[in-house]
Amino acid sequence: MKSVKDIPFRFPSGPVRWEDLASILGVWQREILAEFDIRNAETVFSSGLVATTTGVTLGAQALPSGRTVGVPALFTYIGDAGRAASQRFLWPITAANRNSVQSAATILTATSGGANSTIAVAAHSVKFDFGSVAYNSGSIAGLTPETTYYVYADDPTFAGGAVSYLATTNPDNLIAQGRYYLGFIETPFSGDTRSIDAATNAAAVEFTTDANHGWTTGQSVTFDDFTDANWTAFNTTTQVITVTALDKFTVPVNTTTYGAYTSGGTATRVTTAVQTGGGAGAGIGGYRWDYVIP
Amino acid sequence: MGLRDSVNVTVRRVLFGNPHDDAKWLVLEGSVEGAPAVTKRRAINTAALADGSLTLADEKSALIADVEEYLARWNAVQAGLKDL
Repeated sequence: MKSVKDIPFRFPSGPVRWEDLASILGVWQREILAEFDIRNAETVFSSGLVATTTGVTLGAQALPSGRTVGVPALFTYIGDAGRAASQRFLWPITAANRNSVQSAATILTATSGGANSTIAVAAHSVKFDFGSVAYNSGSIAGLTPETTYYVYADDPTFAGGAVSYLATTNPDNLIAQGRYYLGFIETPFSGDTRSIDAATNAAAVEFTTDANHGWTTGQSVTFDDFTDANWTAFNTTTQVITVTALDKFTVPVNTTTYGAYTSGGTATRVTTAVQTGGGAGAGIGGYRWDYVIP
Repeated sequence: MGLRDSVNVTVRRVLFGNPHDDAKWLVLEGSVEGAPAVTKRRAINTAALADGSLTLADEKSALIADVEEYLARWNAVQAGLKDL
């Protein structure tokens, strides 16, 4: 667009005739003034500055310098009261604060088998100030047993639906724009079974396994396959163990009245105890902020 | 929406678009047309596939079974809504 100061002013010398004056002013109006008239759809301002019945407003082509989205589109994310009108402004978790709440207390569950663990994510929703976002269920496979994982999903617009849940052992990875942190969970150990080779008649019976069991005191085992009289009472029961040797453990069951153990029996470590927590809505206290544009 | 007579679970791979995550995770998405609530994604640690402790066929089967289980419940909900 040519600057007005660069447009030569043409006017014939000598007396001014009305026809000449009308012609010149007509050109001035059509070519100069019309260029600056925001009601003229053919000007360079069109779609940038727009006339309304009450004044002038910014049009779709009012682009901030270096940006590709117009100011009106950007301002759709901010309400008239100065509050965020889009979840794009919201991070589901902030340090020690909360600005969202998950719809269920337990969203993560984990199972282990062999060398691998799988974390299952239940379908749930996250309640924000503006409303709720629903997330589909999902799962993460190929993880390591007995490991604490932090589960997250990248959802830049917090639109929910089917998202890719991932797990990390490094909580630093949780902090990223558009990342939704679901919570943490400790994957259980894989269930393993040992055969019983010997058992004592004692106030707290001590069992000997066919090989080193690798278990620790406080874990639980479920017994099965005992065949000796009285000892069959152990079948399908679960007891907390106290490890007394690499291949021995005791349980608080009095077997002094049982007959002598001869053979049979298995013990399988129970794999249900896991720790879960964290995630959106977690944190200390119930502080919530409102998004006020200063 | 009417009830579905047969299950046709579509499985596709979902890419993250960044080399780091795409190398570390293989994400499969199982879905059934017309039932977006049952769409599920299963992220599989590619290291577990590489060491042989998991197989792609098993993981795909597990995902399909998951989706079918969800679809059965979804269909039950739809049937219940008919009475309302």
